[in-house]
Amino acid sequence: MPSTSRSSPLGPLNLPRPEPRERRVPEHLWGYVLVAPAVLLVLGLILYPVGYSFWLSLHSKHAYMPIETFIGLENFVWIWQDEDFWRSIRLGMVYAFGSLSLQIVVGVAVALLLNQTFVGRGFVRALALFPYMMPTIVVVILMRWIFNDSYGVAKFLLEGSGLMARAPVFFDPDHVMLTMILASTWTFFPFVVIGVLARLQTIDLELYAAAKVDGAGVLRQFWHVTLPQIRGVLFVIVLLRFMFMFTKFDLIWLFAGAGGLGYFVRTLPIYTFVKSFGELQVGFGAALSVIMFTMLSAFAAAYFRLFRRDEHA
Amino acid sequence: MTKHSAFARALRAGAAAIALAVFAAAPAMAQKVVNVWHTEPNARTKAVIDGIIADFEKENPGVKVVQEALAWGDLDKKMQAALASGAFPEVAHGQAYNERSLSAKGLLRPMNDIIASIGEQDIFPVVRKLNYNTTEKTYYGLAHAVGADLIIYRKDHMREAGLDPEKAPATWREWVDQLKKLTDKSKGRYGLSLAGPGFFINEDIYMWVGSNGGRLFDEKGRPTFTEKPVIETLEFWKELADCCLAPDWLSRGYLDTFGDLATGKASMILGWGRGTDYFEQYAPDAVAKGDINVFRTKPVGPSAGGKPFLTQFDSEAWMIFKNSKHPEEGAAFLKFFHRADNYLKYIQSVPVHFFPVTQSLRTDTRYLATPAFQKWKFWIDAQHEVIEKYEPKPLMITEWKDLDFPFIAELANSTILVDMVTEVTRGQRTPVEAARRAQQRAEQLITQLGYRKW
Repeated sequence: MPSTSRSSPLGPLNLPRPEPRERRVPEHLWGYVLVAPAVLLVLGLILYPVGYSFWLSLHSKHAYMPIETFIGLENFVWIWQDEDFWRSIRLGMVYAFGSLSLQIVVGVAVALLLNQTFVGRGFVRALALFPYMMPTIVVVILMRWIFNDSYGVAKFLLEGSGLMARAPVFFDPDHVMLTMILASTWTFFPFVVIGVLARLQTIDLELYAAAKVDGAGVLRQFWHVTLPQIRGVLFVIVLLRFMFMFTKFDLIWLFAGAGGLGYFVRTLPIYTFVKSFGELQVGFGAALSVIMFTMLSAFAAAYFRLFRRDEHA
Repeated sequence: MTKHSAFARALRAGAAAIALAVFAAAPAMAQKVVNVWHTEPNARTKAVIDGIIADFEKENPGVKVVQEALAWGDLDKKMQAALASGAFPEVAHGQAYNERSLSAKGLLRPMNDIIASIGEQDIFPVVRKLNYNTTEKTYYGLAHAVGADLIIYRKDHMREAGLDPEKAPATWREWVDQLKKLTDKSKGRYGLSLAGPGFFINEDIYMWVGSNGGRLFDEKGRPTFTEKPVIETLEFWKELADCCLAPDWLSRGYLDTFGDLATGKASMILGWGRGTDYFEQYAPDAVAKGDINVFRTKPVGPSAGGKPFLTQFDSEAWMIFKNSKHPEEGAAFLKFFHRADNYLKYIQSVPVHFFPVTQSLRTDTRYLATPAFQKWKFWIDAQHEVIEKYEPKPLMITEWKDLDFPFIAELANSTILVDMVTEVTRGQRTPVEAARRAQQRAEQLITQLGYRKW
């Protein structure tokens, strides 16, 4: 034990030196301290807004007037009886599943092509990402030109090539959803390309060699080697892209707005915007967003569950 | 260099950069910024406003004015979003219903001092009527300029179709007959081109209901969408859509309709005097031959019962937001803006569309010498006549009392009326069914907003 001597009127004293006190934060608290910033961020940026939306959904609240009345679940009862809500769900599903399917098909096909060796591959790979890098407003303006009924290149190609005697009017109510799906596919398929291509590059080539030895052609190789290998990536891509497309707002809004032509593509996010910022019913809008949040959470949970069960099978 | 010292240097450099940025931004932050939103995005008007701003800033050091030009159809949405987030501009244009609605909600600064600085009696009576709140004896807005919506048409098409190019249709029946003769689908030509976005459908529905002797609300503010004049309007619209509108009319923007008329894809459109620039640029031959013209009247529906047609009075008002950061500086800017010389320059930036709100300017020799008046006198005269004889009304207002209902902005920005028209013109619902649904939705909206009085 360390000791020291101190002077005293009676002479030096040999007293034990007190141990320096270690001002230590208990080990287990360090964890909380270090995690605190992240927890605060999550609380402030995710949980608070979500919680506030839940709170607002139980109120009748004007967007800027100080009118806020607690009405319990009344907003949800209105929504349940609201024909436009169910219509927006239906249109949202058509848009999300339609554009997702095409993005997956086109994205995987392009990724397979870009995984081949050819001159200028780097350039073509960069080019393939181009649509995803474009600002949405530029995409909308471009698509409006391409699909224009008077001078659009789509009409020119379809009619000029003899594929159609008369090209459809892409922006009429009968075709606007299809146009929107095509535009979204073009814009977002590179997301699929990036994910799938990255995975393709890590597949062991010996698997293909073995498949060839077993007599597998290109299609069977894709079915029995490639597809199982990219399955995990596709699982994540499908989940993310479905959520992105179901909540997509900017592209549809800029193309069609809410009324007129927008009537035919008024998905749930657009409908929520109209209720919140058009009709200024923030409580009602919050209830719609709560429903959207719940639906997507349920979808994600069910999707994970199904996939895991499939994995274990 | 150790990692630690490199890190420390990077930190110091970052701190210095932030300090420099703050120092550089300090003078800008010291200025009072007045945000001005208006609905005149054309380059000429923006340049004129820039000039007025520069002169104002010279007279008022420490005040900076920032103009933001918005399309009409976007103004309400941007305004609603700004109000919801509390980010008020100092000064903004607004539809008449917005002015009343916002002043009723206590959000606007009174503008009596600005009106006094212009000279109250110099302002045209119709403008005073529009902007004066009789209950509070206060002006909460002032129309920046006025104009009237007219039918613009191609005389050459009328002649080709064997129609008298000077004869305005008196009734909807006559109009439909004309439009049918003007439509030649094999050539891709349609009798009429209408703008499809919701804002413009709102414009047409209230004008046509009003031209059919109808109204959108009763005395207590209850919607009247199931009344006969509205149903007949929907039937008329359905007939138009089937016979004489392009299949993609719902996707056509306001400027597209001008393009349609200029390029000969349509024979008639509804519009304003600002279109003259467009025609001069894209249809110079038609302009030179005098083939672009306007009717001085609009047709009425079967239930008009002797009432005149209703057309839109373009009259967005300047408003000042009480809770913005610098409302007094905003007021000072508007006083400066309305000085005769400045206001003349503004009016002359869109001369055929903007009618001055002051009587003195209307008779000012400099105003009367505006070059565009030589070529487009017929258009100006037609608007004069409509404004003086037929009492046009602002957007969504079929009767003057409607201005006092505080929910018009919310209804205009909902999709209720627009959906009603869309469902009928697409054949998804009969006029009666669509009107009934719109009535139910509107009543529900007004109830939910807490404005139900019936």
